[in-house]
Amino acid sequence: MKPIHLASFCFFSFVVVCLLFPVLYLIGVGFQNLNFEIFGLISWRLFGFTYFQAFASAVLSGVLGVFLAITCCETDFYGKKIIVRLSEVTFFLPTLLVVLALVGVWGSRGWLGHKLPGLNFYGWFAILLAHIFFNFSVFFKIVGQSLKEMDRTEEKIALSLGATKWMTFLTVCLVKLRSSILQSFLLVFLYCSASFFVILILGGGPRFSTLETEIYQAIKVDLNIPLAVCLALIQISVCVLVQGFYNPKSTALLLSQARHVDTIYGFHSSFLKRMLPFGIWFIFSILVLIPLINLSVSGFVGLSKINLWDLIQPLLLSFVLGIQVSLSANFIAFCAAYINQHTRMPWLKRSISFVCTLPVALSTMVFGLALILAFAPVLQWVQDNWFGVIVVQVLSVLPMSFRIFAESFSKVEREIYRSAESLGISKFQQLFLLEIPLTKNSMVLALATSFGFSIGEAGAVLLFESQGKTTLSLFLFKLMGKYQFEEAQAVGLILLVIMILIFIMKEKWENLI
Amino acid sequence: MLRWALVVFFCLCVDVLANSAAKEEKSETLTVYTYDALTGKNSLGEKLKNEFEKNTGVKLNLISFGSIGEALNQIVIEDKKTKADILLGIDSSFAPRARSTNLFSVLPEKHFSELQPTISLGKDRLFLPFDYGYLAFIYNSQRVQFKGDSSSELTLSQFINSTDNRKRVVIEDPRTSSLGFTFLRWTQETTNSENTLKTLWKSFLPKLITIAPSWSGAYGLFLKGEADFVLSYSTSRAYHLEKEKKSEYEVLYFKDGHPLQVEAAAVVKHSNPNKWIEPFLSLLVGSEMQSIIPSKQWMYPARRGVSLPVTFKSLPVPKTILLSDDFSEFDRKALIKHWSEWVTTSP
Repeated sequence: MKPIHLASFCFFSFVVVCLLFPVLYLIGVGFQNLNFEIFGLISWRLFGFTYFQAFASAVLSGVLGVFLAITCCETDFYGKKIIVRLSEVTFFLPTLLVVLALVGVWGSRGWLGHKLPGLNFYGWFAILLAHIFFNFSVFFKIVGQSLKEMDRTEEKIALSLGATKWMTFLTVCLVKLRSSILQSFLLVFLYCSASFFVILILGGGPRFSTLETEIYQAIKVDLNIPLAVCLALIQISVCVLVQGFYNPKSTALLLSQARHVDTIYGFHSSFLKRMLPFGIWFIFSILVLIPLINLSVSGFVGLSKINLWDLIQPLLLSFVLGIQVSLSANFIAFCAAYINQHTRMPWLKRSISFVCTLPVALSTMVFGLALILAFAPVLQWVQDNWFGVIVVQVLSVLPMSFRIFAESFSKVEREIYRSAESLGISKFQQLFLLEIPLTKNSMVLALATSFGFSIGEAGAVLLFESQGKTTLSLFLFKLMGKYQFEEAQAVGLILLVIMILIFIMKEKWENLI
Repeated sequence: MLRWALVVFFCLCVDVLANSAAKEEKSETLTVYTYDALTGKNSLGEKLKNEFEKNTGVKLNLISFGSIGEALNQIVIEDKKTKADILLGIDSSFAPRARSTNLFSVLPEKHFSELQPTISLGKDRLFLPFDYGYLAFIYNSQRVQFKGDSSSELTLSQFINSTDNRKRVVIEDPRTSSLGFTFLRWTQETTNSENTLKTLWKSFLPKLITIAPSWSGAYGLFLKGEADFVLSYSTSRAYHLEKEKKSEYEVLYFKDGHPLQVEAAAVVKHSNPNKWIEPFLSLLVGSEMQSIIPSKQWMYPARRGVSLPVTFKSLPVPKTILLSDDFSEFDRKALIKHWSEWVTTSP
């Protein structure tokens, strides 16, 4: 047996058992239960709100992200590196932490919220703010990277021919950035339409329900599985439709390095030159820096209120779960990337790429529901062993892990393979002596990324909550559900420290690839 | 490679240990499904567990869920394979659904003989009440003052229709909280038509800062000063008086009365019922356990003649509104559906 056969067996077994079978089963159950009575339970308002809030969040995140990307590329100012670094961190922070940080600043008793008595934080304001917080960085990174890699000759020619900077920017630069802006927009739109904790905690009642929260409600509270399936089908349809326009190649930019920096739109006015950094720092502080500082400060205060002994079990369980998820996800992603590298069949490459990016379009609740239905006869076992949580988390990190490995494999030079073959080294020996050592850094990067994701993820944990077992993120969620914000902030601080350590490690290994 | 193998081995060991701890010997164990608040430190659940294990030598396995609705759902999902012997903490909101599942057994009459006759969740003896409380709004008298008439001159409708939209109120979501649902039924009881109920809710919405998913969530917001009024129980004042020695948290009494929220235990039907169910139920409604309900659950005991702490005695007992038992699961879903429509279509 060759390694490619073994990898194919492992990868496709996982995909068939844990992805295709549950999702197709869900679709089958959905079509079986389709009737007017169930559709009567779904309001247009629910559908409209889900996608309108996602649209509004994506637009606002885009405005801020593109503005920051262009400004950071075109001008140099004090603290630019801090903004760039922190923007990268926000994307990887767990949703619960973001929610906690924003409540600490904008809640009625928050640092800024208590100064604005007329502000009703819960609802639209909170939802949009939270979505902007961790999605502007998608635009910032993708558009910024595009801008750095863009050929600026046409803009220089336009300027030399007498076009104003504004006209050149609107008619040349923005047109060239159109594709990356659209891809970022679709990605953020998908993330926001499947947003769960932001809506559940910051929404405040049925006025702000989305498909995702209603699926959770239907499964956990009403036990209305046909309704949950019907809602999941709507979500799958919209996501697959959006994914049709989405070209995942552009997200590879998240990992690649800038090639050159060329500025075109520098300000002539010294007043604007001086004021712009203040403006950027003001927006960035209100949106990102103050919430993160608040989380750290309140976390220290909250540490005195929390019984640290209560944290041991969640912490231990989170670590065990994180290790299990990261090892499983990376084994599957490595198999996929290995097949992708060695197969000579283009259709197989396309299939693997499609399967590995499919989870981007499906939410945690949809995966969870599919697993609950498909494994109903052994559901108790699924819950007791956290099989459901592990599978959902593995599927969620699969797109990112696969991309990391695929990129790393693509950098292995063909010459090395040819030399190995000429020396009579077997495929297994090539795998252990060449490919694993050459992709070692990517492996650590992928492990760190998926471990960080697992530590912060709470949706799947909440859905498959097993009796008496609590992870750090679920513990945080339960404290927030009781609005015990001080204690929750202490747990949030611990989570933040873990995430920062993982991020530092990730940064280190990212640079080594 | 060796290091990675050790990490994997370590994880497997921890996982096996964690799972084996959870799968303890089931024989001579009584399993009770309940909600989180009943199982914390110094809770009624902890006291029940200690007493039961001391009296019988049998392990009481208390398994908690986010809400009693989730605990009930778990029993429905597990169906005949459920590990649960008893569902503890079911109330009037989820009783119709529990009844419709046909998964619970009728209880012997002897357990009901010492209970107050008005404290009941139906005549079919499926649910054994162990405590109750009056729904009420709690406010901080240092922040909210009533001019002229005392708060007890108000009716619920007058409070809701009050033109002062500066009052910030937090209530629980009827879809996820029993308290929220009982409040919805209370508003239904005070109105004579669906249109009046709708109008009542429309005028209430501007005063609501948020609709919290649970009691603990809503009360936490109130204590943090984010709201002026919170929907809770009249006995919440007793908690502040006794535990915190704070008298500023007052009850907003309405002259038209307050509904009761009753909590009960239900026994899951099994082909071979656990023989320790009966001793557990006797303990639950026995005088010893009932006498600690005010100080553990901050609710009134369901048993007759139990002496109450001084703080409970100081609380006025409001006029009781008895909500009809004749409320099916279908009625519950219909009412919640209408309410959701009114709430979502309001500007």
